[in-house]
Amino acid sequence: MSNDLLNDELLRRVGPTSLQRYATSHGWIRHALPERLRIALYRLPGTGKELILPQTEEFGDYLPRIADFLNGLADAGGITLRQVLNEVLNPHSDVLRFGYQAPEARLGYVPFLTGISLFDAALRSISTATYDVVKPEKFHLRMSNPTAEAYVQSCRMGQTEIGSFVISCICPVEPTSQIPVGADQEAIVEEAPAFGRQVTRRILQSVTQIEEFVKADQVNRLVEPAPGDLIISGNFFDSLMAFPVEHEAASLYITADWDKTVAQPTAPSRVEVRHDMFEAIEDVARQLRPAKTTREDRFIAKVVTLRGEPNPEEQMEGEVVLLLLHQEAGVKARIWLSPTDYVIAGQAHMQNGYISVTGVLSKIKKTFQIEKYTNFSIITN
Amino acid sequence: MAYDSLFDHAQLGLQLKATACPPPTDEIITFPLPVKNYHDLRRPQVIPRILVVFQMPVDVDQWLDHQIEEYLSTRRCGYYLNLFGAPDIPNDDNKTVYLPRTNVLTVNSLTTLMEQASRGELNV
Repeated sequence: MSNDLLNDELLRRVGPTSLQRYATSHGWIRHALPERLRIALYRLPGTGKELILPQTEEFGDYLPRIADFLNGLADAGGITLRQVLNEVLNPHSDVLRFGYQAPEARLGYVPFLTGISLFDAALRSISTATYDVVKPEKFHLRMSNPTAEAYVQSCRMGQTEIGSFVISCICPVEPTSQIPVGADQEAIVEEAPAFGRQVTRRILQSVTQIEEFVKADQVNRLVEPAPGDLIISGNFFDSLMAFPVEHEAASLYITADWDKTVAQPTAPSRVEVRHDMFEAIEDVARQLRPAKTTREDRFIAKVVTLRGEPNPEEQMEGEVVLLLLHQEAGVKARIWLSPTDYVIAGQAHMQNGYISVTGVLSKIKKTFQIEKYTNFSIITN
Repeated sequence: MAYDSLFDHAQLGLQLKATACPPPTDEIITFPLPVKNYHDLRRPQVIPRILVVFQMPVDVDQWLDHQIEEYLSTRRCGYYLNLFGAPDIPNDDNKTVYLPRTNVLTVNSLTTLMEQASRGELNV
């Protein structure tokens, strides 16, 4: 990163507090100055180096002095300005990068839908790995754990990067003591590593194990882990399948920039999922998925899209997309309606009303659908 | 550096201006300072900043003397002024500032200014 990138907006974001924290954690000592000066003075023992940090934006030269401070930190540490900025802007975080490598992504651009799929898949990977840490099991039937949700919420999206199409995710590394781990939600585990680090490390370790067993032709160990193997949930395999690595020249890699304020993990910092591994991943995901439920539920929904077509009798019938509001709220599911029920769906759609339907909700690949339905009706007030 | 210096590496910023004019006759030297500079100088700065107005002879040929390998000398001198804390003004083009003729920038006066900067006295 050149100094040209130290623009005013960035320098304003880098507050004195984060710089103070960085300086202190890298051996700089703050020396007392009269309060009236409203600046902090830092010296690095044994080097003769001295840096001045403004404490208020009221100074006319606030931004150039923040830039001086950053450059001084980089210079004294013998590291690049980018490294200092990464740590200052994302304190106590691991930075995970999901890189989509494909000929069409070489210039740093991908089709819009591919990009959205990448973001979605990255989020799902982090989310499922979080559940794998909280409660390792073969499949998480319900992903609704407050600890895991809170952690995923705390993660941030970084800048996309050129080289291939790379999305970066900033994953906080909180002290474990702040986040209870365990089914009872009460236990507080004090041992290192921190919870966030367990999640990021888990992603790299899981992919490493998948690659290792696929290469060794031991895919069955991913379904039935041997003692000492990681238990990787089917949800995590599903999240990998969500990455749009759809042709032979494409692959996915994941790298981690580990936060340096906590102990460095033994996990690799770069893993790769090649296109030829996805067949095995899909196979394992299918085996880990619980048997399809045939349980009937009643759903309340809104009609989002009518995609029917006329049948030979010139009556409309066919696919309708519903937005479920009660069971599985927020999920969009397809349903194939008879002409009679299609009319009801049309009426509900025109009235912006609600419908009720009983059926079996299933998920095929990324799509939900309601099958074996009965009692399709408009809900009247 | 002053024995009671707060900083190992004190810094002082100079806003340099130059003007060609006859030698001063009054005890106060006036100078039309662009308003942007005026505001920069009156506002608090982490590194204190003072105004230096260098007066030069009207005749351009007299600006420099003895531009030879041994030395280069300039005619006339610079005057300094600390405008920190000066009042805000409307955004006109220029603000006339008044520099005491005694504020000649010399090695001694610059040393004194640096000592003041090292004690954090120029921007309070």
